[in-house]
Amino acid sequence: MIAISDVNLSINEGEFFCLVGPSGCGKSTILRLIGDIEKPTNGTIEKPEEVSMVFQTGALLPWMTVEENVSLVNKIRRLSKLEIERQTTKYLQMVDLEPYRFRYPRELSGGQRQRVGIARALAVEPKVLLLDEPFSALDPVTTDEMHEYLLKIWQETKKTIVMVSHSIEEAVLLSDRIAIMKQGGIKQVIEVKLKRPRKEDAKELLKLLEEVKLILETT
Amino acid sequence: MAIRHYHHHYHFSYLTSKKRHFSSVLIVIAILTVIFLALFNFVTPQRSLNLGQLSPTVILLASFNTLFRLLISYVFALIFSVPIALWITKSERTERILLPITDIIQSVPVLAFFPIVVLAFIKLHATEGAVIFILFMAMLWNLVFSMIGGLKTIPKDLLDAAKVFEIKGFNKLRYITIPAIFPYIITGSLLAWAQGWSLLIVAEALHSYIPGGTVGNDPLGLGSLLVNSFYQGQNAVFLGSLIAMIVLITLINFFVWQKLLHLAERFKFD
Repeated sequence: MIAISDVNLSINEGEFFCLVGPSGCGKSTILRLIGDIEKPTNGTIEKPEEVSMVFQTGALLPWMTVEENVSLVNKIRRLSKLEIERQTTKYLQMVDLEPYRFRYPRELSGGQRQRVGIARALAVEPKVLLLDEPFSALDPVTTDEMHEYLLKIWQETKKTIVMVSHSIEEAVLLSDRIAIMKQGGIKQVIEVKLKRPRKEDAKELLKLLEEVKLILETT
Repeated sequence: MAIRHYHHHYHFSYLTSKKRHFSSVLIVIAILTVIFLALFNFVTPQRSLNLGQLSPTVILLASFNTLFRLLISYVFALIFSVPIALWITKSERTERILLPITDIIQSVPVLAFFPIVVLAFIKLHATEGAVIFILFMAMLWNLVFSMIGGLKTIPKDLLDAAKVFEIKGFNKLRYITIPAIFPYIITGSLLAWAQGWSLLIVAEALHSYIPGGTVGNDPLGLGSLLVNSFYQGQNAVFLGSLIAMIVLITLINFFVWQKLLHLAERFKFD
């Protein structure tokens, strides 16, 4: 079975890139290929060495504290204790979870857990940050909060962000460019030229939203 | 530095607290005492059964012997079960081939399947080896199948995360796989020990496997005491061994399994 074919996509350094499309269109597959979770049967992917990922469910280890979750990979990579502590603190502060470092994931809210997931992904100092529908399980208020965190982090760290989303609104609100997907491939890549901070109810944004919807609907 | 505070519900942490450190030292001392007592007993002549001269001390020694055998068998079963479970679940193909095979092995009684192995042990005058082997086989499959069940419950996102962050090999085993199946290891261990206790009566009463064997060939233990005293109508010994076994099982249940089951809660996925 072929998940995706004839995909030719280049993402710029420091760009906020979004993949949208109906479920089963292969948008997650593209992310999984970039993240080395799956290997392509054909074709090549050029990417920087350090790529890390934020998962839909958070994928935290329930038996480890927030701090242990964030520092685990650096510990395995045998960074010095001082360096591990520095990274962990830095990124926990970035997501405002420093006071929660000795809590367990089950003691946190869904949004907080996702922020731990982001801190963990950042702690390995990646060039590219992949996000696989990271906010789809959160309530609207928390999702708005998470959008602000993500934009703040993106502007502070200058990472390249590639996010998969099922929400066109989210994509238009956050990204520089959007790849609109159809079954098994990319239909069109559009640029979002709106200035930040963007308002959800701004006229230009709503207009663009309609445009994307139209592209998605036409076959 | 932030002040380290532990949530009161979950006071166990990877960061070892002093209290936990102290209690683990106590547990280690207790285990070592049992092992040494049993070992000393193993090297003394009083290792096989002599129903003629029984005293409460002998029942105590039998308890230590039995506990020691179960412990050794369990440790072996635990060591073997991890790679077996990992091997079976390695891919869909290995599972399709290996699962039915192991299913057959585990459903045939140990003694029917391995009389030759047991006999070989006895021929080598390694009666202890035979007992431990039987108990080991009885314990192994409970652990293996529990672990297979556990391995299947690990969330896919977590396995993907391991790939993205390049956590593999021993590190994956140590930081992800083993903790993730920890609750299943505990329930499997509970079943394994229950199986072990119930098979003692057979495993320690080996003389029926030895051509011309007598009660004197049986290693001293609660299982052999129970069976042989019953057949010889020695009710006091029978009752004494039975009480010793019940006390031992209750103590282990209270001091080991209850604690471990409580600890396992922390390792469960939501």
